[in-house]
Amino acid sequence: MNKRIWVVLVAALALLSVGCPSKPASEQQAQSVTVGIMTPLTGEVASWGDMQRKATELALADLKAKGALEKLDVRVIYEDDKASPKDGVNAFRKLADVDRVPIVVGSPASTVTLAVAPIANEKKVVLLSSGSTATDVGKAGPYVFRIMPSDEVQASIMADWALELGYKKIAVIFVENAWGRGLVEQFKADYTKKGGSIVADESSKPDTTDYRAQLTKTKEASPDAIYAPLYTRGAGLMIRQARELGLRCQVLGADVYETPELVEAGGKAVDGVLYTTYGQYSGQEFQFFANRYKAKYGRDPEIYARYCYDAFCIAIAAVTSIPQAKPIDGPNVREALLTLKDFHGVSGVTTFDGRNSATGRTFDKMMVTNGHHVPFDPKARKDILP
Amino acid sequence: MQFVVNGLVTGAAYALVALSFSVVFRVGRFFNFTHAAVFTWAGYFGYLCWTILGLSLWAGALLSVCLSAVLGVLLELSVYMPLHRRRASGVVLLLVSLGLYTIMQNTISMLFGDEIKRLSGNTVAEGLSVWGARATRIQLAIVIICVVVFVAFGILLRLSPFGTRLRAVADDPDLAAIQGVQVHRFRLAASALGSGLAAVVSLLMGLDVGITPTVGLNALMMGVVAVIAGGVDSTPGIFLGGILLGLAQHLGVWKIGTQWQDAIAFAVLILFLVLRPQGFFGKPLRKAAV
Repeated sequence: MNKRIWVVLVAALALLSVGCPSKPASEQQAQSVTVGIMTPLTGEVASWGDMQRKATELALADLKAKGALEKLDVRVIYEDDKASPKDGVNAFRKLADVDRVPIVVGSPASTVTLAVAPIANEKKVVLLSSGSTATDVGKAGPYVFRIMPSDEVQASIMADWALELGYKKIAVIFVENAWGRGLVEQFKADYTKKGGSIVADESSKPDTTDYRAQLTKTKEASPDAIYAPLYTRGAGLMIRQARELGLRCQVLGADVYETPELVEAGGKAVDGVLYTTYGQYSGQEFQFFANRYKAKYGRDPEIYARYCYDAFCIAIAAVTSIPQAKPIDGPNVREALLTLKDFHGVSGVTTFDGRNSATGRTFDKMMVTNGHHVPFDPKARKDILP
Repeated sequence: MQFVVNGLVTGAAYALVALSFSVVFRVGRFFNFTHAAVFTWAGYFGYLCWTILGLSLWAGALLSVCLSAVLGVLLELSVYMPLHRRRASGVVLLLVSLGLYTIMQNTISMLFGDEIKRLSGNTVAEGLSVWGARATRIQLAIVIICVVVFVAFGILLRLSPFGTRLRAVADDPDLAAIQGVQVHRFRLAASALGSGLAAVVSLLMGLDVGITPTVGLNALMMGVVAVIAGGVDSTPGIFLGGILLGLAQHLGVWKIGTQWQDAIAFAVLILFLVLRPQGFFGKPLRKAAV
């Protein structure tokens, strides 16, 4: 009896496997590529990961709608780097060794990108950053690319701007990692060279929620303004606590400020805050994308969404430009990126021109007004915050 | 002066966390990580009650504290009581609690997300002036509530039958059982009290700086340092331990960089472990206990 059941089962299985239709010949020829997305899906800056995942999904849908993926089968694998170097290295190793991806889009956090860079170079996997501005990312090796400008530029723009606004004494409070320290070192160098003086210099760990010790020391130094490259949540809390301590001078921030968490954490206290961020582009590509993003997710595309959307589309453009005869692997994707010219994206035009950092990108001056992020308007400027 | 005020406020919060932990520790006799999870959950209960359900400050606070006490009791009933019955060792209990902590913390991340949740409103007011320094209403409330709770707890411990039993169970659960104390039922009461206390601090700290899924563990670590400095069985010791730790953290960074704050806390811990492992007022240890 038992034997008979087995025979029937085996026969049925055999029939099933024969019955499966084989794939049509044309589809088998289509190339396929797996793209890794490395971004903080959890942790202090989990909101960046959320924006980037949404942007990637939208980019994939848009590329399909445009017919760019007819001959290319794209698979996306998300890995969480928690914006921490240790988790980033694990995430990257998994993408490179297990999923064997030729290109990873990420991470927005400079500190992760710098930690992962040596492995990317060693394994010949392209790392296309979706938000790392740290100066050193530009020199991190042949396989590390980025489309945003460098913090060297960001810090010197801020140094000039601070002096232009008449702030002669500045206190710095920064997040203790590659991004925060890099910005502050460059800022201090430029600012003091041009005649400003740094009156207090404090740092904090990335997950700090209580900034009162730093602020108390800052208050004693009575600065004209505080330069605070902190992560968004920390910045919001810090500014709030500054007001509670009766410290009402202007706060100057950096690129990460342009996320909703600043207002969420800081409330009314962040009104009037000034900061620098990656170049704003409002051409038709951006308008098209912004409308779609808003329709799908109910909010304006944040900075990390814009840059991740572009980074992902650039990655796919590079992969599609590889000739049929060549395999899609790290070295070939790298070649394709280096020769990429005039890519019109939602964050502007990208050209690598044989280098690892996109050329011609800069930073814009922004301010917070009534909970909204708007371009800096000298008339609306306040020296004393609410 | 501002440093002293900052230190006192932080110290008062540490002292309260330490007290709540010591209640749970005394009757359980193991390093209970889920206490940190209950602490975090309390903050999110507050978020639920105030922001989502829109309850008033007092109603929301009361409900959150009750919910946290219930959570503490449920954990004790479902996990620790069966383990205690089987005479599980302190290490086993510690590992179980660590596992549970991880699950509970990640549940919060899943439900509420990792970003900061603010419990206080959108408006920001300049703090009140105290001896030339600034402190917000919430910060003053932390200090006042801390003093009230410690006085009340001291009286409870010395003068009520509950206090006598707490000390008896802490001293030797078996002997207490022989004397007619219902140890298991008693553990439930103690975890309700400890969890409720933790909820009070959690809500206050949440109103002050906001909550994230990891607030509990950070708070617990500092609470434990305060407990060790003060001596686990001494209520005034724990109070002093917390205040001393807060002051050391804030005054210590007056002249050196603020990034050393946590290092200062753990330096205090090491100093006490080496020089006075029994705490300020504790009697010299007769045996080491985990």
